[in-house]
Amino acid sequence: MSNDAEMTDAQGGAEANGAEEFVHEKQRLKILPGSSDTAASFAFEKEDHTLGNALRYIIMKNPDVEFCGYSIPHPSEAVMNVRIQTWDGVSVWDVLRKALDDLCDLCDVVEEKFTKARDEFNAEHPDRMKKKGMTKNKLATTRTIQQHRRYHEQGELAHMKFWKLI
Amino acid sequence: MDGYNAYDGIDGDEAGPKVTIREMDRTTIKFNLTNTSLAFANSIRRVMLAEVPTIAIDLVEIESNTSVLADEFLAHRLGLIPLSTKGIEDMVDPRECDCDPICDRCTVVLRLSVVNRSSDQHVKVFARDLFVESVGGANYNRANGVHGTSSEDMPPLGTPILMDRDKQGPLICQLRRGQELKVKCLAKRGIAKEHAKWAPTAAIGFEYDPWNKLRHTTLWYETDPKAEWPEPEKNGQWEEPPTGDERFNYEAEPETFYIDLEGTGVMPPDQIMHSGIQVLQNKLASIIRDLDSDNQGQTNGYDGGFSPPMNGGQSAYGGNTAYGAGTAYGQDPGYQTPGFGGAGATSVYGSATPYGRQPYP
Ligand SMILES: [Zn+2]
Repeated sequence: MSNDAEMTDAQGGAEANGAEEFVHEKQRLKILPGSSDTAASFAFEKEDHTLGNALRYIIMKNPDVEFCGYSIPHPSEAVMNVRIQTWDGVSVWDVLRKALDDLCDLCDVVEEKFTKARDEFNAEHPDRMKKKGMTKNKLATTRTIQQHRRYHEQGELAHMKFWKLI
Repeated sequence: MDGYNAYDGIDGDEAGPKVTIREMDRTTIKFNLTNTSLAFANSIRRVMLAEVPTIAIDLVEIESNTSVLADEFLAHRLGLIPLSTKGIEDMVDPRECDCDPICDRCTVVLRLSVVNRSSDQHVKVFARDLFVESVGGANYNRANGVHGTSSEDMPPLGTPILMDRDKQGPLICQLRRGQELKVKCLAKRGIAKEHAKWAPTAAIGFEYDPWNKLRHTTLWYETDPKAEWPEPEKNGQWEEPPTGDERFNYEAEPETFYIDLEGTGVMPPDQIMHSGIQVLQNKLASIIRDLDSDNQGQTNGYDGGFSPPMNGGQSAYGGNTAYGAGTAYGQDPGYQTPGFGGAGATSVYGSATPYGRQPYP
Protein backbone atom coordinates (compact mmCIF):
# COMPACT_ATOMS: atom_id res chain seq x y z
CA MET A 1 0.00 0.00 0.00
CA SER A 2 0.99 3.56 -0.44
CA ASN A 3 0.95 3.76 3.30
CA ASP A 4 4.45 2.41 3.39
CA ALA A 5 5.96 5.76 2.58
CA GLU A 6 3.85 7.43 5.18
CA MET A 7 4.89 5.01 7.82
CA THR A 8 8.55 5.64 7.18
CA ASP A 9 7.82 9.28 7.73
CA ALA A 10 5.88 8.69 10.85
CA GLN A 11 8.50 6.43 12.25
CA GLY A 12 11.31 8.85 11.56
CA GLY A 13 9.24 11.65 12.89
CA ALA A 14 8.33 9.95 16.09
CA GLU A 15 11.96 9.61 16.96
CA ALA A 16 13.14 12.92 15.63
CA ASN A 17 10.37 15.13 16.86
CA GLY A 18 11.56 15.03 20.39
CA ALA A 19 8.96 12.66 21.77
CA GLU A 20 11.66 11.41 24.07
CA GLU A 21 12.13 14.87 25.53
CA PHE A 22 8.58 14.70 26.80
CA VAL A 23 8.73 11.24 28.21
CA HIS A 24 7.24 12.46 31.45
CA GLU A 25 3.94 12.90 29.69
CA LYS A 26 2.61 10.70 26.94
CA GLN A 27 1.29 12.24 23.79
CA ARG A 28 -2.43 12.59 24.45
CA LEU A 29 -3.46 14.23 21.21
CA LYS A 30 -3.87 12.18 18.09
CA ILE A 31 -5.27 12.88 14.68
CA LEU A 32 -7.64 10.34 13.25
CA PRO A 33 -7.26 8.74 9.84
CA GLY A 34 -8.92 10.44 6.92
CA SER A 35 -8.13 13.92 8.11
CA SER A 36 -6.94 16.72 5.88
CA ASP A 37 -5.53 20.16 6.59
CA THR A 38 -8.94 21.78 6.61
CA ALA A 39 -11.11 18.97 7.93
CA ALA A 40 -9.73 16.86 10.69
CA SER A 41 -10.76 14.76 13.64
CA PHE A 42 -8.64 14.72 16.74
CA ALA A 43 -8.67 12.20 19.54
CA PHE A 44 -7.89 13.53 22.99
CA GLU A 45 -6.91 10.79 25.38
CA LYS A 46 -8.08 11.04 28.97
CA GLU A 47 -10.31 14.00 28.29
CA ASP A 48 -14.07 14.34 28.60
CA HIS A 49 -16.87 16.92 28.50
CA THR A 50 -14.87 19.20 30.77
CA LEU A 51 -12.50 20.05 27.97
CA GLY A 52 -14.62 18.90 25.04
CA ASN A 53 -17.56 21.23 25.34
CA ALA A 54 -15.53 24.30 26.22
CA LEU A 55 -13.15 23.64 23.36
CA ARG A 56 -15.98 23.02 20.94
CA TYR A 57 -17.56 26.28 22.01
CA ILE A 58 -14.45 28.36 21.60
CA ILE A 59 -13.58 26.79 18.26
CA MET A 60 -17.06 27.56 16.97
CA LYS A 61 -16.47 31.20 17.91
CA ASN A 62 -13.77 31.35 15.26
CA PRO A 63 -15.28 32.71 12.04
CA ASP A 64 -12.89 30.60 9.99
CA VAL A 65 -14.54 27.49 11.28
CA GLU A 66 -17.28 25.88 9.26
CA PHE A 67 -18.04 23.12 11.72
CA CYS A 68 -16.90 21.90 15.08
CA GLY A 69 -18.30 19.16 17.22
CA TYR A 70 -17.10 16.79 19.87
CA SER A 71 -18.08 13.35 21.00
CA ILE A 72 -17.15 10.67 23.46
CA PRO A 73 -17.38 7.56 21.30
CA HIS A 74 -17.61 5.11 24.16
CA PRO A 75 -18.31 5.77 27.84
CA SER A 76 -15.80 3.25 29.11
CA GLU A 77 -12.97 4.54 27.00
CA ALA A 78 -11.37 7.77 28.19
CA VAL A 79 -11.19 9.32 24.74
CA MET A 80 -12.82 12.47 23.46
CA ASN A 81 -12.97 13.27 19.76
CA VAL A 82 -13.14 16.72 18.24
CA ARG A 83 -14.02 17.34 14.61
CA ILE A 84 -12.97 20.61 13.01
CA GLN A 85 -13.76 21.79 9.47
CA THR A 86 -12.58 25.17 8.29
CA TRP A 87 -13.36 27.62 5.50
CA ASP A 88 -10.95 28.90 2.86
CA GLY A 89 -8.12 26.50 3.45
CA VAL A 90 -7.42 27.65 6.98
CA SER A 91 -5.40 25.04 8.81
CA VAL A 92 -7.16 23.07 11.51
CA TRP A 93 -3.91 23.08 13.46
CA ASP A 94 -3.95 26.86 13.66
CA VAL A 95 -7.59 26.82 14.68
CA LEU A 96 -7.00 24.26 17.40
CA ARG A 97 -3.93 26.03 18.67
CA LYS A 98 -5.74 29.34 18.78
CA ALA A 99 -8.70 27.84 20.61
CA LEU A 100 -6.43 26.39 23.27
CA ASP A 101 -4.68 29.72 23.71
CA ASP A 102 -7.98 31.58 23.88
CA LEU A 103 -9.40 29.19 26.44
CA CYS A 104 -6.28 29.62 28.52
CA ASP A 105 -6.69 33.39 28.34
CA LEU A 106 -10.34 33.04 29.28
CA CYS A 107 -9.23 31.15 32.38
CA ASP A 108 -6.77 33.93 33.20
CA VAL A 109 -9.49 36.55 32.94
CA VAL A 110 -11.96 34.64 35.10
CA GLU A 111 -9.23 33.96 37.62
CA GLU A 112 -8.32 37.63 37.72
CA LYS A 113 -11.92 38.80 38.03
CA PHE A 114 -12.63 36.26 40.71
CA THR A 115 -9.61 37.27 42.77
CA LYS A 116 -10.56 40.91 42.47
CA ALA A 117 -14.17 40.26 43.47
CA ARG A 118 -13.01 38.20 46.44
CA ASP A 119 -10.62 40.89 47.66
CA GLU A 120 -13.30 43.54 47.29
CA PHE A 121 -15.74 41.41 49.21
CA ASN A 122 -13.18 40.92 51.96
CA ALA A 123 -12.53 44.64 52.11
CA GLU A 124 -16.23 45.31 52.44
CA HIS A 125 -16.61 42.74 55.19
CA PRO A 126 -13.52 43.23 57.34
CA ASP A 127 -15.17 41.59 60.33
CA ARG A 128 -15.48 38.30 58.51
CA MET A 129 -12.01 38.35 57.10
CA LYS A 130 -10.38 36.80 60.13
CA LYS A 131 -12.38 33.66 60.58
CA LYS A 132 -12.67 32.96 56.93
CA GLY A 133 -9.25 31.56 56.36
CA MET A 134 -9.14 32.92 52.84
CA THR A 135 -5.85 32.31 51.18
CA LYS A 136 -3.53 34.70 49.55
CA ASN A 137 -2.79 32.35 46.79
CA LYS A 138 -1.01 34.69 44.45
CA LEU A 139 1.68 32.06 44.27
CA ALA A 140 -0.45 29.44 42.64
CA THR A 141 -1.95 32.00 40.32
CA THR A 142 1.26 33.49 39.04
CA ARG A 143 2.68 30.08 38.54
CA THR A 144 -0.14 29.16 36.21
CA ILE A 145 0.10 32.32 34.23
CA GLN A 146 3.84 32.01 33.78
CA GLN A 147 3.43 28.45 32.75
CA HIS A 148 0.86 29.51 30.26
CA ARG A 149 2.89 32.38 28.90
CA ARG A 150 5.63 29.94 28.14
CA TYR A 151 3.34 28.14 25.76
CA HIS A 152 1.86 31.30 24.54
CA GLU A 153 3.52 32.56 21.45
CA GLN A 154 0.93 34.79 19.92
CA GLY A 155 1.59 38.04 21.67
CA GLU A 156 -1.45 39.81 20.36
CA LEU A 157 -3.61 37.73 22.63
CA ALA A 158 -1.74 38.70 25.72
CA HIS A 159 -4.06 41.52 26.54
CA MET A 160 -7.09 39.34 26.26
CA LYS A 161 -8.42 41.29 23.37
CA PHE A 162 -10.12 38.21 22.16
CA TRP A 163 -12.70 38.94 24.78
CA LYS A 164 -14.85 40.75 22.36
CA LEU A 165 -15.59 37.42 20.82
CA ILE A 166 -16.93 35.79 23.88
CA MET B 1 -7.23 33.48 10.53
CA ASP B 2 -7.09 37.22 9.84
CA GLY B 3 -10.79 37.77 10.05
CA TYR B 4 -10.75 36.39 13.53
CA ASN B 5 -8.69 39.18 14.96
CA ALA B 6 -10.83 41.81 13.31
CA TYR B 7 -13.23 41.26 16.17
CA ASP B 8 -10.70 42.79 18.50
CA GLY B 9 -11.77 46.24 17.38
CA ILE B 10 -14.80 46.44 19.61
CA ASP B 11 -13.78 48.00 22.86
CA GLY B 12 -14.83 48.38 26.44
CA ASP B 13 -13.73 46.95 29.73
CA GLU B 14 -17.27 45.86 30.42
CA ALA B 15 -16.94 43.16 27.85
CA GLY B 16 -15.73 39.85 29.10
CA PRO B 17 -16.66 37.89 32.16
CA LYS B 18 -17.71 39.36 35.47
CA VAL B 19 -17.72 37.90 38.94
CA THR B 20 -20.02 39.10 41.71
CA ILE B 21 -19.63 37.53 45.11
CA ARG B 22 -22.88 37.21 47.00
CA GLU B 23 -21.78 35.46 50.16
CA MET B 24 -18.62 33.97 51.53
CA ASP B 25 -17.66 32.14 54.68
CA ARG B 26 -15.19 29.54 55.86
CA THR B 27 -16.48 26.76 53.66
CA THR B 28 -18.70 28.37 51.07
CA ILE B 29 -18.66 30.99 48.34
CA LYS B 30 -21.78 32.03 46.48
CA PHE B 31 -21.06 34.04 43.39
CA ASN B 32 -22.45 35.03 40.03
CA LEU B 33 -20.38 34.43 36.94
CA THR B 34 -21.59 36.67 34.13
CA ASN B 35 -20.77 37.01 30.44
CA THR B 36 -19.43 33.54 29.97
CA SER B 37 -20.77 30.66 28.03
CA LEU B 38 -22.57 27.71 29.50
CA ALA B 39 -19.81 25.49 28.13
CA PHE B 40 -17.06 27.31 29.98
CA ALA B 41 -18.99 27.77 33.23
CA ASN B 42 -19.79 24.08 33.21
CA SER B 43 -16.15 23.20 32.62
CA ILE B 44 -15.24 25.14 35.72
CA ARG B 45 -17.96 23.41 37.70
CA ARG B 46 -16.87 19.98 36.53
CA VAL B 47 -13.21 20.58 37.15
CA MET B 48 -13.85 21.83 40.70
CA LEU B 49 -16.03 18.83 41.44
CA ALA B 50 -13.77 16.13 40.12
CA GLU B 51 -10.24 17.21 39.36
CA VAL B 52 -8.89 19.45 42.08
CA PRO B 53 -6.14 17.54 43.87
CA THR B 54 -6.55 17.02 47.61
CA ILE B 55 -5.22 14.55 50.16
CA ALA B 56 -7.01 11.58 51.73
CA ILE B 57 -6.11 8.37 53.49
CA ASP B 58 -5.53 5.79 50.79
CA LEU B 59 -3.81 2.85 52.47
CA VAL B 60 -4.44 1.55 55.97
CA GLU B 61 -2.20 -0.90 57.78
CA ILE B 62 -4.13 -2.46 60.60
CA GLU B 63 -1.89 -3.51 63.43
CA SER B 64 -4.71 -4.34 65.76
CA ASN B 65 -8.45 -4.09 65.43
CA THR B 66 -10.60 -5.73 68.06
CA SER B 67 -13.47 -3.29 67.59
CA VAL B 68 -16.80 -4.44 66.23
CA LEU B 69 -16.07 -2.90 62.85
CA ALA B 70 -14.44 -4.96 60.10
CA ASP B 71 -11.01 -3.86 58.89
CA GLU B 72 -12.19 -2.81 55.45
CA PHE B 73 -15.14 -0.99 56.93
CA LEU B 74 -12.76 1.01 59.09
CA ALA B 75 -10.41 1.65 56.18
CA HIS B 76 -13.29 3.04 54.20
CA ARG B 77 -14.31 5.34 57.04
CA LEU B 78 -10.76 6.55 57.49
CA GLY B 79 -10.53 7.36 53.79
CA LEU B 80 -13.47 9.72 54.05
CA ILE B 81 -11.99 11.84 56.84
CA PRO B 82 -11.27 15.35 55.57
CA LEU B 83 -7.57 16.22 55.81
CA SER B 84 -5.98 19.64 55.43
CA THR B 85 -4.70 20.37 51.93
CA LYS B 86 -2.33 23.10 52.94
CA GLY B 87 0.66 22.94 50.63
CA ILE B 88 -0.91 20.20 48.49
CA GLU B 89 0.56 21.79 45.36
CA ASP B 90 4.01 20.71 46.50
CA MET B 91 2.94 17.16 47.19
CA VAL B 92 3.97 14.63 44.57
CA ASP B 93 1.40 12.36 43.01
CA PRO B 94 2.08 8.89 44.44
CA ARG B 95 2.08 7.33 40.98
CA GLU B 96 4.69 9.76 39.77
CA CYS B 97 6.96 9.55 42.78
CA ASP B 98 10.05 7.42 42.23
CA CYS B 99 10.42 6.35 45.83
CA ASP B 100 9.93 2.83 47.14
CA PRO B 101 7.52 2.30 48.76
CA ILE B 102 6.78 5.71 50.28
CA CYS B 103 8.53 8.96 51.06
CA ASP B 104 7.54 12.23 52.65
CA ARG B 105 7.13 13.95 49.31
CA CYS B 106 4.20 11.73 48.33
CA THR B 107 2.82 10.40 51.62
CA VAL B 108 1.65 11.69 54.95
CA VAL B 109 1.53 9.04 57.65
CA LEU B 110 -1.18 9.25 60.29
CA ARG B 111 -1.36 7.00 63.31
CA LEU B 112 -4.35 6.05 65.38
CA SER B 113 -3.89 4.18 68.62
CA VAL B 114 -6.78 3.87 71.05
CA VAL B 115 -7.60 1.27 73.70
CA ASN B 116 -10.47 1.02 76.14
CA ARG B 117 -8.74 -0.61 79.08
CA SER B 118 -11.22 -0.32 81.86
CA SER B 119 -14.20 1.88 81.12
CA ASP B 120 -17.73 0.57 80.98
CA GLN B 121 -18.52 3.63 78.91
CA HIS B 122 -17.80 3.24 75.22
CA VAL B 123 -14.68 5.07 74.22
CA LYS B 124 -15.39 7.14 71.12
CA VAL B 125 -12.65 7.39 68.54
CA PHE B 126 -12.69 10.66 66.64
CA ALA B 127 -10.69 12.08 63.75
CA ARG B 128 -8.86 14.27 66.25
CA ASP B 129 -7.22 11.11 67.58
CA LEU B 130 -5.29 10.72 64.34
CA PHE B 131 -1.78 12.01 64.66
CA VAL B 132 0.34 13.14 61.77
CA GLU B 133 3.73 11.55 61.68
CA SER B 134 6.33 12.24 59.06
CA VAL B 135 7.51 9.21 57.17
CA GLY B 136 10.93 9.23 58.77
CA GLY B 137 9.42 9.11 62.21
CA ALA B 138 10.91 12.45 63.19
CA ASN B 139 8.88 15.63 63.51
CA TYR B 140 6.10 14.03 65.42
CA ASN B 141 3.79 16.96 65.70
CA ARG B 142 0.46 17.02 67.41
CA ALA B 143 -2.53 17.52 65.22
CA ASN B 144 -5.01 20.36 65.50
CA GLY B 145 -3.08 23.09 63.80
CA VAL B 146 -0.35 23.82 66.28
CA HIS B 147 1.78 24.86 63.35
CA GLY B 148 -0.84 27.04 61.72
CA THR B 149 1.29 30.13 61.84
CA SER B 150 1.66 30.94 58.16
CA SER B 151 -0.56 33.17 56.09
CA GLU B 152 -3.21 30.51 55.84
CA ASP B 153 -5.33 29.47 58.77
CA MET B 154 -5.25 25.90 57.62
CA PRO B 155 -3.51 23.29 59.76
CA PRO B 156 -0.51 21.49 58.23
CA LEU B 157 -0.89 19.10 55.33
CA GLY B 158 -2.71 15.90 56.21
CA THR B 159 -4.04 17.07 59.57
CA PRO B 160 -7.68 16.11 60.14
CA ILE B 161 -10.08 19.02 59.73
CA LEU B 162 -12.13 19.54 62.88
CA MET B 163 -15.08 21.80 62.22
CA ASP B 164 -17.45 20.98 65.07
CA ARG B 165 -17.69 23.04 68.22
CA ASP B 166 -15.79 20.53 70.36
CA LYS B 167 -13.07 20.08 67.74
CA GLN B 168 -13.50 16.33 67.65
CA GLY B 169 -14.02 15.76 63.97
CA PRO B 170 -15.96 12.82 62.56
CA LEU B 171 -16.59 9.78 64.75
CA ILE B 172 -14.62 6.80 63.45
CA CYS B 173 -15.82 4.05 65.80
CA GLN B 174 -16.54 3.21 69.44
CA LEU B 175 -14.65 0.78 71.67
CA ARG B 176 -16.03 -1.39 74.45
CA ARG B 177 -13.96 -2.42 77.41
CA GLY B 178 -10.95 -4.40 76.26
CA GLN B 179 -11.20 -3.39 72.62
CA GLU B 180 -8.29 -1.82 70.81
CA LEU B 181 -7.66 0.02 67.59
CA LYS B 182 -4.16 0.52 66.28
CA VAL B 183 -3.67 1.55 62.67
CA LYS B 184 -1.18 3.28 60.44
CA CYS B 185 -2.75 5.34 57.66
CA LEU B 186 -0.99 6.47 54.50
CA ALA B 187 -2.56 9.63 53.11
CA LYS B 188 -1.93 10.35 49.44
CA ARG B 189 -2.70 13.01 46.93
CA GLY B 190 -5.54 12.28 44.51
CA ILE B 191 -8.56 13.62 42.67
CA ALA B 192 -12.28 12.98 43.06
CA LYS B 193 -12.47 11.49 39.59
CA GLU B 194 -10.74 8.46 41.05
CA HIS B 195 -12.54 8.40 44.40
CA ALA B 196 -15.02 10.83 45.94
CA LYS B 197 -13.01 10.95 49.16
CA TRP B 198 -10.68 13.35 47.34
CA ALA B 199 -13.45 15.80 46.54
CA PRO B 200 -12.75 19.30 47.87
CA THR B 201 -16.42 20.18 47.50
CA ALA B 202 -19.44 18.95 49.36
CA ALA B 203 -21.68 20.32 46.61
CA ILE B 204 -21.73 22.88 43.85
CA GLY B 205 -25.00 24.64 43.15
CA PHE B 206 -25.20 25.68 39.53
CA GLU B 207 -28.15 27.59 38.13
CA TYR B 208 -28.84 29.81 35.17
CA ASP B 209 -31.93 31.46 33.75
CA PRO B 210 -33.98 31.24 36.98
CA TRP B 211 -37.14 32.38 35.20
CA ASN B 212 -36.75 29.72 32.52
CA LYS B 213 -37.01 32.30 29.77
CA LEU B 214 -34.79 30.18 27.55
CA ARG B 215 -37.09 27.22 28.11
CA HIS B 216 -34.24 24.85 28.70
CA THR B 217 -36.57 23.03 31.02
CA THR B 218 -40.21 22.15 30.78
CA LEU B 219 -42.30 22.78 33.86
CA TRP B 220 -44.88 20.12 34.46
CA TYR B 221 -48.29 21.45 35.38
CA GLU B 222 -51.93 20.53 35.87
CA THR B 223 -53.62 23.58 34.42
CA ASP B 224 -51.42 26.66 34.85
CA PRO B 225 -47.64 26.51 35.46
CA LYS B 226 -47.59 30.09 36.80
CA ALA B 227 -50.06 29.35 39.53
CA GLU B 228 -48.61 25.99 40.45
CA TRP B 229 -44.86 26.72 40.48
CA PRO B 230 -43.28 28.97 43.10
CA GLU B 231 -41.24 31.95 41.97
CA PRO B 232 -37.51 31.30 41.85
CA GLU B 233 -36.71 32.76 45.24
CA LYS B 234 -33.07 31.79 45.21
CA ASN B 235 -31.66 33.65 42.23
CA GLY B 236 -34.76 35.08 40.62
CA GLN B 237 -34.15 38.60 41.96
CA TRP B 238 -31.02 38.89 39.82
CA GLU B 239 -32.97 38.78 36.61
CA GLU B 240 -36.07 40.49 35.27
CA PRO B 241 -39.13 38.31 35.58
CA PRO B 242 -40.88 37.68 32.29
CA THR B 243 -43.79 39.99 31.61
CA GLY B 244 -45.67 37.21 29.96
CA ASP B 245 -46.40 38.88 26.66
CA GLU B 246 -42.89 39.03 25.17
CA ARG B 247 -42.07 36.80 22.27
CA PHE B 248 -39.67 33.95 22.71
CA ASN B 249 -36.15 35.11 22.00
CA TYR B 250 -34.65 32.22 20.11
CA GLU B 251 -31.26 33.91 19.94
CA ALA B 252 -30.85 34.33 23.69
CA GLU B 253 -28.18 32.29 25.41
CA PRO B 254 -27.48 31.75 29.08
CA GLU B 255 -24.92 34.23 30.30
CA THR B 256 -25.23 34.50 34.06
CA PHE B 257 -24.47 31.52 36.25
CA TYR B 258 -25.32 31.36 39.93
CA ILE B 259 -22.72 29.21 41.58
CA ASP B 260 -22.89 28.05 45.20
CA LEU B 261 -19.52 26.53 45.89
CA GLU B 262 -19.64 24.54 49.09
CA GLY B 263 -16.35 23.14 50.32
CA THR B 264 -15.79 20.33 52.79
CA GLY B 265 -13.33 22.39 54.81
CA VAL B 266 -10.19 20.73 53.49
CA MET B 267 -9.52 23.74 51.31
CA PRO B 268 -10.82 27.31 51.50
CA PRO B 269 -13.54 27.78 48.87
CA ASP B 270 -11.68 30.48 46.94
CA GLN B 271 -8.73 28.13 46.75
CA ILE B 272 -10.98 25.48 45.21
CA MET B 273 -11.89 27.93 42.48
CA HIS B 274 -8.25 28.87 41.90
CA SER B 275 -7.10 25.28 41.81
CA GLY B 276 -9.96 24.37 39.49
CA ILE B 277 -8.96 27.01 36.99
CA GLN B 278 -5.38 25.94 37.31
CA VAL B 279 -6.23 22.33 36.57
CA LEU B 280 -8.14 23.45 33.52
CA GLN B 281 -5.19 25.52 32.34
CA ASN B 282 -2.83 22.64 32.92
CA LYS B 283 -5.00 20.49 30.68
CA LEU B 284 -4.78 23.12 27.96
CA ALA B 285 -1.06 23.58 28.47
CA SER B 286 -0.37 19.89 28.13
CA ILE B 287 -2.26 19.73 24.85
CA ILE B 288 -0.49 22.82 23.58
CA ARG B 289 2.73 21.04 24.49
CA ASP B 290 1.60 18.01 22.54
CA LEU B 291 0.80 20.19 19.56
CA ASP B 292 4.17 21.90 19.71
CA SER B 293 6.19 18.75 20.23
CA ASP B 294 4.37 17.15 17.36
CA ASN B 295 6.38 18.87 14.64
CA GLN B 296 5.24 16.34 12.19
CA GLY B 297 1.68 17.31 12.81
CA GLN B 298 2.49 20.95 12.34
CA THR B 299 4.46 20.63 9.16
CA ASN B 300 3.20 17.48 7.65
CA GLY B 301 -0.39 17.77 8.70
CA TYR B 302 -2.41 14.64 8.85
CA ASP B 303 0.30 12.26 7.80
CA GLY B 304 1.87 12.26 11.18
CA GLY B 305 0.57 11.95 14.57
CA PHE B 306 -1.96 9.21 14.68
CA SER B 307 -1.64 5.80 16.10
CA PRO B 308 -2.35 3.33 13.41
CA PRO B 309 -5.62 1.56 13.95
CA MET B 310 -5.54 -1.97 15.16
CA ASN B 311 -6.85 -5.15 13.61
CA GLY B 312 -8.07 -3.61 10.44
CA GLY B 313 -11.02 -1.93 12.00
CA GLN B 314 -12.82 -5.08 12.99
CA SER B 315 -14.01 -3.58 16.25
CA ALA B 316 -17.58 -2.98 17.16
CA TYR B 317 -17.08 0.49 15.82
CA GLY B 318 -15.81 -0.89 12.56
CA GLY B 319 -16.20 0.38 9.09
CA ASN B 320 -19.24 2.59 9.20
CA THR B 321 -18.49 5.31 11.66
CA ALA B 322 -18.76 8.98 10.93
CA TYR B 323 -15.13 9.11 9.96
CA GLY B 324 -15.34 5.85 8.20
CA ALA B 325 -14.85 4.60 4.75
CA GLY B 326 -18.14 5.67 3.33
CA THR B 327 -17.81 9.31 4.21
CA ALA B 328 -16.39 12.17 2.32
CA TYR B 329 -13.31 12.23 4.48
CA GLY B 330 -12.52 8.61 4.23
CA GLN B 331 -9.15 7.90 2.79
CA ASP B 332 -8.75 4.94 5.02
CA PRO B 333 -11.20 2.27 5.84
CA GLY B 334 -13.23 3.38 8.77
CA TYR B 335 -11.67 3.32 12.11
CA GLN B 336 -13.06 5.21 14.96
CA THR B 337 -10.98 5.49 18.02
CA PRO B 338 -7.51 4.19 17.64
CA GLY B 339 -6.97 1.23 19.83
CA PHE B 340 -10.40 -0.25 19.54
CA GLY B 341 -10.89 -3.90 18.98
CA GLY B 342 -8.43 -6.68 19.45
CA ALA B 343 -6.11 -7.54 22.25
CA GLY B 344 -5.79 -5.09 25.06
CA ALA B 345 -2.06 -5.15 24.66
CA THR B 346 -2.26 -3.20 21.45
CA SER B 347 -4.66 -0.55 22.66
CA VAL B 348 -3.63 3.05 22.93
CA TYR B 349 -3.34 2.52 26.64
CA GLY B 350 -1.14 -0.48 26.27
CA SER B 351 2.58 -0.23 26.04
CA ALA B 352 2.80 -1.66 22.56
CA THR B 353 2.09 1.48 20.62
CA PRO B 354 4.50 4.28 21.08
CA TYR B 355 2.83 6.83 18.90
CA GLY B 356 2.88 6.11 15.26
CA ARG B 357 5.32 3.26 15.07
CA GLN B 358 3.27 0.26 14.22
CA PRO B 359 2.88 -0.54 10.57
CA TYR B 360 -0.50 -0.81 9.03
CA PRO B 361 -2.08 -4.22 9.21
ZN1 LIG C 1 7.40 9.15 47.32
